[in-house]
Amino acid sequence: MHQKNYKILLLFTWLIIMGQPAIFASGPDDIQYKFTQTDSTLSFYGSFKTNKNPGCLLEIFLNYNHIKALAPDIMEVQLIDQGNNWNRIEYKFQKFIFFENISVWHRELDREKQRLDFNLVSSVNNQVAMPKMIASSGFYHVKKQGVDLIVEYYQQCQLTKSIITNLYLKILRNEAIHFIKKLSEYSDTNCSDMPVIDN
Amino acid sequence: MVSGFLRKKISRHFTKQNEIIFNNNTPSNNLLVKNFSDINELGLYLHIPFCTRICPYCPYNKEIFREDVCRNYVQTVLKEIDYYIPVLQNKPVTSFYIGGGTPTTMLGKGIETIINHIYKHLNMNCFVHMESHPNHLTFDNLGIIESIGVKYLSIGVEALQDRHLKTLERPYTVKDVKKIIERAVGRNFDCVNIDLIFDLPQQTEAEIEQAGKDIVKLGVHQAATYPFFRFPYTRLGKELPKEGNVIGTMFRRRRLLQILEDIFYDSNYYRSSVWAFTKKGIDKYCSVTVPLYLGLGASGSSYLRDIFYVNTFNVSEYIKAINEEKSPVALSIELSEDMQMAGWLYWRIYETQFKKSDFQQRFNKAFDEKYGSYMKILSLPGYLKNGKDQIRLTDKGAYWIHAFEDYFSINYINKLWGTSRNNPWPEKVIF
Repeated sequence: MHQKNYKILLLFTWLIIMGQPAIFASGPDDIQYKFTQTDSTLSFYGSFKTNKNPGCLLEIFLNYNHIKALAPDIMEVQLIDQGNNWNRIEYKFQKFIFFENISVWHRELDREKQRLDFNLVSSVNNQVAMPKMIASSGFYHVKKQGVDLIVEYYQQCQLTKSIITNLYLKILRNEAIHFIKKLSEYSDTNCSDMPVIDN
Repeated sequence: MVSGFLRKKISRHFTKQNEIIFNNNTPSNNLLVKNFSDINELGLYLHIPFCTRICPYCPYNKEIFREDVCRNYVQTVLKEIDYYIPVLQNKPVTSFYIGGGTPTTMLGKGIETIINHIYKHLNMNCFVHMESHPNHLTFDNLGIIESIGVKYLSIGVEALQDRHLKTLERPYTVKDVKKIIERAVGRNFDCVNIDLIFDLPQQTEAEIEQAGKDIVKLGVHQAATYPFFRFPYTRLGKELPKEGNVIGTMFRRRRLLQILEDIFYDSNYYRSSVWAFTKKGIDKYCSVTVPLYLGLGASGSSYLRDIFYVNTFNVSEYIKAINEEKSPVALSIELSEDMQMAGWLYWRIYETQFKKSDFQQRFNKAFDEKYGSYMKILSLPGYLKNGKDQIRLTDKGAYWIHAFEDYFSINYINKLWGTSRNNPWPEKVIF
């Protein structure tokens, strides 16, 4: 590896170690999450209660225009193709200035089930030392639980092994927690409550 | 801390109030009838709180467009209008402004029904002024917009460089939006206004100059050029680094605005408000400067001489309240005469010129007796021309006096809107 890159990577590793104590903290009362981690896979499940219009929640899940508001590290989102209830989009994700990942996702909405499933189509890193995402998939789901409405978000991903895979998984954990918090805040601010009275 | 202290001191001086308190009192029907009896004419504001996407800098009250919610909103606004029909006592409505949100999200989805209802039941003496999103201005939609009585159309262009459109997350390119503007200008509107934000992050003077020249070239009737305000509760307000010192920002904005002034004056435009330039011979597109007005819809606000009140910002709560035959008013404030006068002066300064006799007519008091000494002081550095009846702000006066006013109003707006967005029925808001 080029010496300069190696130094950057060391600095990056140090930053992660120093900057991570918060990622194991639990979320606010209304947001629940849990992780399952092996040495190269991570699955994240998060959920929160909501009183928002389910149609609006599904719109946030499917419409790629809302993604930047939910994940500030996503620098660009591009629509590649779309149909009635699906789209294929490309994200450019940037972390710590020097790490970039470009990934393509296929996303499909089942309105009846109130669920959007997504799958990784491709993923490219700009730093060879970074673990590569081999596979990833997940879903967003709005479900009724008694009188409550629950938003669920699940994602699993498998990475190639490298010396920093573990650290990278920690970043992903952090990102996932931020993401679900933002999803809760954003839908709370920008969706109507439910039910809306029919005139 | 120092700025907060100063703000309070000056506010107290002009309003003669220790605190300005909005509380959750709802004006009674009798009080509204009395207030409307006292006025000769009014403006009408309709708020459309829907957007198809949420712009990260936008401080206004809006939510993601949903057809089912929109349907209920239309029926609810009709009920609110019906409530006001007897209250207004057929007083002439002399201006009608539809803002948002994005009013054009409701094209073909009920906005026509609301406008027809208003023209059928209220004493309308004006055409419609309406905000629009560039991407909604297809050939067909422009036809619909004209057919519902919109003669004054504002297009939320916001920037004329692709990199700035990207920062603002506007979903079009400069090439696309120029075609859209040309299409709108080519129709029969009395005035096509475009909104342009300046002092965007890393924006250069050359870019502002280019944008000004492009606007003139496109034949736009009016340009409303606002500085980029960072409201702390918006996404960009949170994400962008804090602005440097206030004074530096004010001088930079003055320089940028001066570039625009030079371009517009050279191209036969006049200054029609602090931030707006209108082609000579064109009736200006206007939004906020009407002396007395009634606001309809979620977050609609009304100003009727000695009372100012605001509907709840929450769309669902607005719908719920009206359908349960409750008042949608969330906050109100009774205005002392000093506060009314200060408010009157604020908006007349915004318009950059006014007649002292209008003040006399409104408050039955000589303008010079109340504010004459301030006008004399402000005329010394050349901020305004203090005529016998006419006050006219010079370019530098329009900017600096308004910058001074902004120092107060942005803080007030931020607190009132920020609170109202978080809580549909706040108990009180104190300034």
